[in-house]
Amino acid sequence: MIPVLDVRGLKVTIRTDDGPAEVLDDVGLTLERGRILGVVGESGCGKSTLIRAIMGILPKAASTEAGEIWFEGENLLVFSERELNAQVRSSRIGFIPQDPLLALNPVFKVGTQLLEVMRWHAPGSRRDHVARLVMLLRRMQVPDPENALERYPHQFSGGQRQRLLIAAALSCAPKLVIADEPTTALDVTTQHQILLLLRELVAEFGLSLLFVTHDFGVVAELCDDLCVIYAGQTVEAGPMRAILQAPSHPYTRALLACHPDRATSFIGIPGLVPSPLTRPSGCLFAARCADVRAGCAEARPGQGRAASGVQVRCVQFT
Amino acid sequence: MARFVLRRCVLVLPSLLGLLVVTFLLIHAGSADPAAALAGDAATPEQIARLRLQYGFDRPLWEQFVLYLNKVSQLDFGESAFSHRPVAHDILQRLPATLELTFAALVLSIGLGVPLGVAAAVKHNSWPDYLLRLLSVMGIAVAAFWFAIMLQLFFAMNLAWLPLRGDLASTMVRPPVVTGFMLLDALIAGRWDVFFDHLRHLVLPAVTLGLGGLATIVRFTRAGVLDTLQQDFVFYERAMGYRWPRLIWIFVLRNSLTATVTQIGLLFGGLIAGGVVVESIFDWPGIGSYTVQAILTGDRQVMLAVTLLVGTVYAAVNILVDVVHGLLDPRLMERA
Amino acid sequence: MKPILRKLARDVPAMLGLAIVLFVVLVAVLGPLLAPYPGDASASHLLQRLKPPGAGHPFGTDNLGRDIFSRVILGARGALAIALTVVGVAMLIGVPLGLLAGYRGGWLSETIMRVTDIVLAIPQLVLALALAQLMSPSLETAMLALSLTYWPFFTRIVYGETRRLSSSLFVDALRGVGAGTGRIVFLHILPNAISPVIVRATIGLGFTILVAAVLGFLGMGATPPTPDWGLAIAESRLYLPRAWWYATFPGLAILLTVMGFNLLGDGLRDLVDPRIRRSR
Repeated sequence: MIPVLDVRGLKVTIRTDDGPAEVLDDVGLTLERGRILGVVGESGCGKSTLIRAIMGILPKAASTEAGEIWFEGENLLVFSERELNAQVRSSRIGFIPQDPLLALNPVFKVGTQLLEVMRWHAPGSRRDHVARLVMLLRRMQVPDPENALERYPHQFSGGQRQRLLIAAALSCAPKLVIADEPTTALDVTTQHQILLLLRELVAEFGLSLLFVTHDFGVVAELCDDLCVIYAGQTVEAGPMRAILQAPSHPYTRALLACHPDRATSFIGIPGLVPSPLTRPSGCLFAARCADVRAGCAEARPGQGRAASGVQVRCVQFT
Repeated sequence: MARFVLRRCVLVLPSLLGLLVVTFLLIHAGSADPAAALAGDAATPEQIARLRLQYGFDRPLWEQFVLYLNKVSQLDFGESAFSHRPVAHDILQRLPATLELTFAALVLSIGLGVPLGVAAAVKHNSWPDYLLRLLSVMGIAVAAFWFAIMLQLFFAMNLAWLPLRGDLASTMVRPPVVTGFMLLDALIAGRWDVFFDHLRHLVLPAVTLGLGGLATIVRFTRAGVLDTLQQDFVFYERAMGYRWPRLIWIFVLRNSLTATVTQIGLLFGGLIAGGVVVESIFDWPGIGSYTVQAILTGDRQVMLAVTLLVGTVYAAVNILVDVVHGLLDPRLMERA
Repeated sequence: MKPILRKLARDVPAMLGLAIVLFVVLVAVLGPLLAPYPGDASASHLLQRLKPPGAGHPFGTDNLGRDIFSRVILGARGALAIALTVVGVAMLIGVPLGLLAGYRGGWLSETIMRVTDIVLAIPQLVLALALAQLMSPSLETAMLALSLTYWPFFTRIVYGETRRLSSSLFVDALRGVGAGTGRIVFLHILPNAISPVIVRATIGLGFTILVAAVLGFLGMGATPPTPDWGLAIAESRLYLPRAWWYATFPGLAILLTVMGFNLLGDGLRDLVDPRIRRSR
């Protein structure tokens, strides 16, 4: 069974006024059919760039230097913009954005926007589309679904908007859904509801979900598998439970130790993430690593395996 | 929506009242005997005396103001010292020609300006963008009257492609006046020759009048679209697979037009002012040339009436601009 | 101060505008020294009338045989003088009114702002023409009329800035220390409000040159034989299409000058208010 999404060795560089920024440097992840993969990392680790690369909406100044993005057996990086728009976006890969207020066009009715997507990516007549949207909205528990489509984005609450966007993501029946920190802008209770909803939808609609976040708590609640990214590299990847119970990579261990539920002090991880403009030559985490040893700062470690089978990029496991 | 418009109308009343006060005070400005000044240089003593009575110049100031308001409410703006006809009549007769010209200039400015602005924004920092920006800067800096003369020089005198002045060839018989708008009257009378000749006469004045507006609209539309393109919902719409042309021309454009609409409203002032000069250069029989004639002949009644008219039109346009803003962005109407 | 200047220096169109403005100022100041025929400000040489551009007369001659190149150069002086006077007077009226309205509030403020709205409600040219006509047309009345129609722009800007600043913390602190109103307004608020005023003044200079050219064209500007760009274009009409140079060059001078001020003004505006920066 080939994975729905298989990213290998992805390297993306962005031209800036201050020189080339290596935003992504050897990122890999695997999302199996019907499962939920969490992509975790701090702000600035390259999560957004990763999503953009998969969807083909990188900024003009960005270039993909190396790697492949295998989606259902096809390499998305060789698709042209027209092909991506016509064949992939919304119809095969759905997208749930981070901030539901900013994501929606403020001057058009919600229905107009959602129907615009379905017009180009879903089969059937407009009436079919409206019916499907109403059905989805009802499933998302958006109040008064028939009239909801006639309202404007600012007339909904934050949680309702996010449900609208989830409905939009599913409207054209994609196989893969990418969610970009969709609960960050919500309060904790609503967050919990949305996560539950997503879990149900994955099972109900037979989806595969790529869930990007910086919050381990969310990951623990929702995800089956996990992929930890640091400074543009995948440092640990594998089943979520295995990683949370016994994190292997020093960064993962440090991150978990900092989580509000587990932290014993305010220290956090000493040091700073290396800037994408000046990546060090050795291991990117060496300067902040608790287990650092001789040789770490000189040579980049390759991918190894922990005892549990989890992939780890650390010299301790190669 | 109706409530919104009503509120705007009510808010504008103080300004209109102020405008009336200003024009009223202008009657008295700068001369010892307002009646003589209003009547003009060629007036007889009886005419002057009659005016003095009508306006009540020997009465206290506030009584004069009431008299003045009374006259204005009856659309009595006195008589032109030059044409010896009621000013209101002259204005009404000439209004359609000015409206035709203004409308043509607006169609040109907006019809070309918005698409060019969008194109410049989409092709940001490429040579078409730079060219359009350069032309926009020049377009605003050009003196309309000079541009008019240059156009006349080139297209009418040297190339003889277009007529030099006027609104119709002098050899043509004018169609009967039904609406006052020659284009419509020509169509009503079935006179296609008049229709096309009038159109030919409309070209140079409309281009001259529309140039400044075109440049401004290109500029502001470009800026608006560039700003909008940076917003998150554009990213989302791309991710959801919106088709690019529709994305830009429907979904981005509506968000980008706020500043442009404001500028179009402000443009009206420029169109009215520019109309004065352009109409006189091209001998276009509208209110602009009427105003210039009034200036040259010292016809005060006309100047006052035109000032009042222009101020009112401007206020009406501002209300219209607010309404269009509300249509573009429904959030504004709720806050009102 | 310096990083701002460096930022301005990187803005190519603004630098171009600055160069043009400096050039025009130089031409205006050194006028008679630069013009090949400075006497043509008033003298006439009927034998040389309406000669096309050529040796000795790069812009040709006008209907009185005067060198147009010289008269264009000399006209710069008049144009700039008018512009500076008009904008200067408008600032002298508008800025204090804006400070007053913004700081004091109450019915005085309301009245000032209503009057501002009314004057702004009428297009500048029409009002200026009406005023100029009522006060007997001459260059001085034209300039006064233009000033009287332009001051509201400054008032609006200064009013906005003053209101914003007078409710800020540092003004409260000053009041707490016992600083007097005059001191607060002139030493503290005004310097902070001055940047948008300068931007508006720069653009106003360009705009005034345009409007003054129109007035000159209509015969309400400088009296002949004083060189005036608008007047020259008006005079030229009788001699078109043959003497095309007569109308073209004064017009190009207007275009260049106004463009310079506009570009500079835009550059200054981008500096001063990055919030509403026109996406360059």
